[in-house]
Amino acid sequence: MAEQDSTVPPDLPPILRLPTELRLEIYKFCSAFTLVQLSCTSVQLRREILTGPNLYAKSYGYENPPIKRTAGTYWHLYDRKLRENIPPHLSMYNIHKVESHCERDLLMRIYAMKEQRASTGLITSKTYFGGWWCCHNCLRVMEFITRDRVTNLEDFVCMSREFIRGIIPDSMSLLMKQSNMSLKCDIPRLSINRINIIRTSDIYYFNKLPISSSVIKQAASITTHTSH
Amino acid sequence: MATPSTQATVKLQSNDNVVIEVERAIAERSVLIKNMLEDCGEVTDAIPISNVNESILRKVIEWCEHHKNDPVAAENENDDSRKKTTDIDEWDQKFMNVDQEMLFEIILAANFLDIKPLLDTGCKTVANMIKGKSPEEIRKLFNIQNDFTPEEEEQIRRENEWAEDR
Repeated sequence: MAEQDSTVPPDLPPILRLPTELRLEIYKFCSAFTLVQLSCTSVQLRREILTGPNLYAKSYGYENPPIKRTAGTYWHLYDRKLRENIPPHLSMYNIHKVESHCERDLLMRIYAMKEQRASTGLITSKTYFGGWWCCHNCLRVMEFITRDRVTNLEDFVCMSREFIRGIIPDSMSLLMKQSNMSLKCDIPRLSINRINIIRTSDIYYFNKLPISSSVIKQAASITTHTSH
Repeated sequence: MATPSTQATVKLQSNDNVVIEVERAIAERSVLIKNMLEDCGEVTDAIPISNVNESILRKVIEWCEHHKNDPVAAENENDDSRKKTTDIDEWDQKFMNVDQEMLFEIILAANFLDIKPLLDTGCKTVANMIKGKSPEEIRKLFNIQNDFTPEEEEQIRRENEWAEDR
């Protein structure tokens, strides 16, 4: 049980009047993404969150070491080396998943895609666009890199294994068998360790494949569903 | 250890000297009071609850009354399992729909009286208030002062912003 300190100044905001142990109890109910936001509010909360014993490492959506998850139209950058100088403590680079759509809305709002200057030679054009992106289907967080500014980010879904298994298993397995077709259609091939994304409108490409009418119907309904 | 008591009610005295009589079973939702009663047997005097004022004590008793038939969680229950969800049942949500001052007082009282489920509900309520808010919105919500230096702020921003070349 936490000791209550009777010497706490009364003008402190109520949350800061709690003993540290009780704030740590509150943090335990926060996802890793929410802890990142909290750690950016004040020196005291940042210290508590980053040094709390086993605190953020056990939070929902935390991943360490950060795994490269890239999505977007720069498919050839998939094999880039792991980035150096990633902060040694909790940061957005450790966020694998958000907990809810309200967290996703915040992520899309404050970490929106920005114009980046190419400096490593990996990207041939002078500028490109990159940022954190979160799939509205599975709530996974990944980096989104693209040559051109994308304004309709809501029009993308993640082709994670859950998505493939859960929504369009038949059409996807067919797509995997026909890798040539997928390249022609600019739909990336499925990879086990990486997560690809797909423009929901590209699902219409399935209609060009010799697949059963039930799968076409299924894919069309997904397109309708995700475009809302 | 004292002989187990069969008394039906106990008196609790808040730190502003108000005595409230409650059913023993309700009061025993508090592990602190339960242990005290088990140690002392029959208690006729009011038990002083030194850290809790009348309004908060009544609120805590209201929660205990509503949850008096809830199963008591095993003491060795995996501590991590309870952290996985922030779902709060409807009654508790309404119960916790109070101003921040009272919410944090309830958390303090639950901690002092050792009522783990109430403490968890309070902490979940605060966690749910924070979710989906930016650092600036959290500061505004809790009246927290931004005491980072501009350099620290810039460093934190850079740490979290996506950049290919860091």
